[in-house]
Amino acid sequence: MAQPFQCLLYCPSASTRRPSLLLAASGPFIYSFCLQDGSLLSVWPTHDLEGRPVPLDESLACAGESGVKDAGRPAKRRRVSLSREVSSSTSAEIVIENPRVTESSRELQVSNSEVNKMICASSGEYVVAVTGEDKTIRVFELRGDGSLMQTSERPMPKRPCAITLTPDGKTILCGDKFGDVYSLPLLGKPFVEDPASSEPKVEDSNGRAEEHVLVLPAASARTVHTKKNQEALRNQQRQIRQKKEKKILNFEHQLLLGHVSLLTDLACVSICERTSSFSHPRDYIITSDRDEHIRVSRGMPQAHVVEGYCQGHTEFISKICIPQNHRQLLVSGGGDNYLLVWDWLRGNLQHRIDIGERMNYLEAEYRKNIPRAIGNSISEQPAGNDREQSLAVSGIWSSSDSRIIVTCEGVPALIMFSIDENMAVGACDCVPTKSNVIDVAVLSDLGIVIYSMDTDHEPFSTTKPSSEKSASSKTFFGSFSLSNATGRGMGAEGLHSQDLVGNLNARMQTHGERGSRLYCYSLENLRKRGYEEES
Amino acid sequence: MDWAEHYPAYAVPAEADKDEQGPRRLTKDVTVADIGCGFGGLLVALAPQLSSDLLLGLEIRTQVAEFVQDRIRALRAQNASSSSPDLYQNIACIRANTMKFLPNFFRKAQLSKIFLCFPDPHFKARKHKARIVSATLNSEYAFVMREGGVMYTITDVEDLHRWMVGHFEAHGSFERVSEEEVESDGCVEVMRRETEEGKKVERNKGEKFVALFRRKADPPWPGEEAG
Ligand SMILES: C[S@@+](CC[C@H](N)C(=O)[O-])C[C@H]1O[C@@H](n2cnc3c(N)ncnc32)[C@H](O)[C@@H]1O
Repeated sequence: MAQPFQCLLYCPSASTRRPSLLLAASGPFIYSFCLQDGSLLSVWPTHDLEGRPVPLDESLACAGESGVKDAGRPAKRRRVSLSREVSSSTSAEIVIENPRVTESSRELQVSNSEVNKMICASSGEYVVAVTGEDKTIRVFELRGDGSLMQTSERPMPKRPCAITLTPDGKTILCGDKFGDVYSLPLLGKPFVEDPASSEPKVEDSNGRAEEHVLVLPAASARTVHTKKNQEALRNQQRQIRQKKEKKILNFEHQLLLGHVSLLTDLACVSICERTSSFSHPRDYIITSDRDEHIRVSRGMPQAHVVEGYCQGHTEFISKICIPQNHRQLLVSGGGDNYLLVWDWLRGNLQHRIDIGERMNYLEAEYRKNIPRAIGNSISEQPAGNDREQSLAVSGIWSSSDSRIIVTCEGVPALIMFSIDENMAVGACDCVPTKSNVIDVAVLSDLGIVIYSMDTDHEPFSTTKPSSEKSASSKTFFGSFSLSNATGRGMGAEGLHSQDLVGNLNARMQTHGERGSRLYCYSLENLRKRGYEEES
Repeated sequence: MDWAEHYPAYAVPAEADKDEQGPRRLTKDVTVADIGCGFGGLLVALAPQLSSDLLLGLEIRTQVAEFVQDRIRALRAQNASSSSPDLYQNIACIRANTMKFLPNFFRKAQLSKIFLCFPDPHFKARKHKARIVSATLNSEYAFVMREGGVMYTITDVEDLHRWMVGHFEAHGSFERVSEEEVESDGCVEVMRRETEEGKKVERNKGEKFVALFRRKADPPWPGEEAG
């Protein structure tokens, strides 16, 4: 197991039926760990693309070398959603790229697409996950033995960038790359492969009714040769794909609102009497985009009403977070060197927290302390940063003890601050970590934060490969104890969580090397280059 | 946004302006917007008619926006010593992509009129997301408009006309303005005759489709219905 975990999710035990779980996604696989002892309970999908079972735990130690090698670690270009598209003989390029796909694998629940997001629904009964490349929203039932059973897969028209649930937990909200936000029922009917003749006329986002005519291309990959012909074929195929794209919205859904910009994050919150003057709870949807905007809209069914904006960022916004204990506040971050804390109902900026300085200091400290022995590649570097001076906030979480935890792309640290009863913001602390932090799971009730780390790159770099070669020395997970956190960070980790994380790491180390795709940072791509400024 | 620079005649005098840090404020806010104003024909024609309002044209093409700014500057200079020196002081133009940055320029409920004159049709279905009217964009127009404010649309492309009518009628914040009211609205005639595009269509004897929509009040929050 060489690839780090890009996505973590804490699922507290919903009942005595199953233990508390940590779900951790690596590539297209979702691993389910028991939080009592760190044991690996299950992997989804259970089979790889070639139809071979993905071995679990101990058995992986031997299988890792031969059998599973490269399975499910596709080259980036390989087409996804094989299970559906392969059966259509019109998609010449897919068949060509995957000559080895067997009939049997099509029947399996196979995803070849990296898991980008996971959220917990119905207090841990369900998990909603987004697989990016195939743009699909998957709902799983979390079973007593910790395994995941997929109950639906719904391909979206555009790549989902953010998902959340409505306050009642019954509806999934999904924001996409084109800025649209759709609602779909959590337990919506599973996608119907071919709804025969009674196909409903799907009004897509802007109310245009699409007729779903599947056109067969006049040419196939074998009949055309000239460059021009190939161009034409590609066009035809693209058109067919588009038709399919329209077609796949063939499940209950509704377009709620939209930005004319990539939608980066989404939050849904209910404000009730206790914290406001409202006689009834009011639902809001808060959305952020690549163009510095945070928009506050009403919740369903009035999501077409915009209530306000929070304006103050000068770069893309990548994350927004409503603190558990301060629902009237919003913390936002992105490509700016600072975080902003808002009174979002009024659109008022409350605090600005500079993190750029701290990061630079941390990095300088790190460079000073690198022992020469660790690798020449580092000591040969000119003093100073290989990381660009700019920061990209990759995650913002809140804990039940009113702390805010922030991570930045390519930074080996957790940034933390707390918010007190008067909504004043405390000093900002940095907890250094072994490698760059990728994702964080806040186990509030256990007082632990578990984070996954990028074992592929050097700390403070999003590009330079890590000098540590052997998988066995890799540390995929780290932990931090909230209760012990005195603020200085170092050495504050609780024993309990350390044991747990040690177990998690040990599990994964037995998995051996498994393919070569490096963890890939992408947030900096949101930053606008000069020419696309304000366009 | 330094509004005083665009409407110097309406700037709060420096000594009276308490807020010395920021840009000088205006004695009144912009209430009329011409989205995709092109070469500014509508602004210039409406300036005397809506003399008590401030009108702002928003245009995405930098050079076109600059042309309009020069045009307004010249008109103001011409009229400075005339009997109506205030003429054209109430119009201005900025470069802006309104599809993305409308809320950067206007507060909630600030505008009483928005004009969408001969917007680019973007015929291809794949380009429909680029249209300046859509279910989701209409929410932004609704945000910057006051209750009772009017959205003016005109186009020579019938398909686009139907598209705009469809999307505004389907949107919870707008209702179509009746035929009689349209005809009695003084701005409609100006919109038909005075925009550059309108003149072009006139020359080609093309048809013009006009539709107006009124900003409805926001619905009561669920559970808070009157009573
Ligand atoms: C066909 S012209 C009409 C111009 C003018 N309204 C008229 O009637 O003569 C459409 C104008 O909208 C502008 N435009 C297109 N998209 C825009 C956007 N997103 N924001 C601002 N202006 C835009 C174009 O640059 C162009 O000048």
